[in-house]
Amino acid sequence: MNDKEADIKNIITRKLYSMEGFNQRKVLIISKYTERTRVNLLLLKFFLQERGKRGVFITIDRPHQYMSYLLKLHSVSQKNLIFLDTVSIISGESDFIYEQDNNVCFLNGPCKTDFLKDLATKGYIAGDIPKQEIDLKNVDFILIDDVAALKKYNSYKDLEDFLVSYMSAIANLKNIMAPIVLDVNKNKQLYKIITNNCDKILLVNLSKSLVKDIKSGERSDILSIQSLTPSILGVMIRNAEPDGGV
Amino acid sequence: MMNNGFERLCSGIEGVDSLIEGGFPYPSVILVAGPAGTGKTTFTQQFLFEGAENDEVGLYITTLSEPPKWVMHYMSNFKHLNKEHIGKKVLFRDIGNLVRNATAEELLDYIDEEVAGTMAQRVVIDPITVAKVFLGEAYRPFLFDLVNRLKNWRAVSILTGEVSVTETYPSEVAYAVDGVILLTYQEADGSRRKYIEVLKMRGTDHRTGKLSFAITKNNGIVVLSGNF
Repeated sequence: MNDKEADIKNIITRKLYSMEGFNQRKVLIISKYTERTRVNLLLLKFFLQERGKRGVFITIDRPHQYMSYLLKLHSVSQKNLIFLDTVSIISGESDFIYEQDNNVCFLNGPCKTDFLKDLATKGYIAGDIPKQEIDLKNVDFILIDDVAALKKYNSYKDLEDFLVSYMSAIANLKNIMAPIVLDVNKNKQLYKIITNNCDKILLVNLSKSLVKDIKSGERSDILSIQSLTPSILGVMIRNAEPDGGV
Repeated sequence: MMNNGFERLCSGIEGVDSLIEGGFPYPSVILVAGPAGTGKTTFTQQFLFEGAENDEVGLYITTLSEPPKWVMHYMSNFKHLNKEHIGKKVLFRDIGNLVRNATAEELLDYIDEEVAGTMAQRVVIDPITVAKVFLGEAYRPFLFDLVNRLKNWRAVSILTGEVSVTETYPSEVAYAVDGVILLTYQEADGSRRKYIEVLKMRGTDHRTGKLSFAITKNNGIVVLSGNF
């Protein structure tokens, strides 16, 4: 890790620490899609390594072993992490499904969007391997690798229902921090749903070393690329073709 | 209606993005195929340096065509490639020895390690076709696994494919990848012109037909607007 990366990691870590204190658990993290994996890794490092928290990483975008590999590469212990892998079964990498990793629960695909209920239910599909019940009271954080990936497998209505019930469940659980990482440019409808239900919005641009709280008055401005001005972001935004990215 | 449009990465080659709805689907694996001298390596360098300009990490893996030193030597002549990115955002790896001696699984493990370790958003393997000679029957499953893994590492990857003048593209690779771009020569009026053609680009309304292109020191590959 170079100095620039260490600085940005420290800034994000401080923000996350402060959110714990203020009980802000449903946080939307806006990031470029090309930085999604890095942001997820950074969040997992914060929860698992910095804070020694217990959590669940739900994989919709790609099989769990990719993040598991990265965590190993970065010497992050996975003993307090459970993977809820929704996608291996359709990913052409089914060899992993029959590995008896203690910390992986496999689902039958990402079309079913009631993961919290799944987590609290005994007997996952994992080859023939039964998994233990997970008590959400013992979980400190839940992170979804790419919530926007659910668009590929679910209708808009189902996805909206899922997000509303997911965030409502998180609010009721009272002990779980649940960041949602999203690139706004391709996901404006999801952004609107999430902002109506989240406690805090953070804009993160790792390559520009930028972390910024988005205040309630600025939330709607984020939807317009043109309005992503230096005054809001603190940096110049390149209007990239075709999707842009913040 | 929910917008299901793909995230895309721009190619870095003037005139290519407009052929493919603005860029390569992210993630995806693209084959750039053509005979010697058509500009395959130049294409890949422009792709990687464009990513570096956008703060993305690019990983160039050379197999058995030429060592990175000579790739960089010839690329240094292109004025638009910012050399400050070399070793920082454009990383070079040589797996020539590994390709000669390793099994398919060892090759895949090495590529996994490099792509995961660098967290590259753009990857080039130049050329991939040489692995066929050493892997034999394991080549096709290797390609399938490689393509799947590269996409799951969340990168847009370009595999280059060498073909003889009588061959259009390496079919085993073309079946496995998400996109195929052909670079070809064609004789016209006593000289050979270079042409680019998008043969396949999954999930994309891509333009069909051959378009002429030039390679210049100032801009590298530039697709010309007419078909010539």
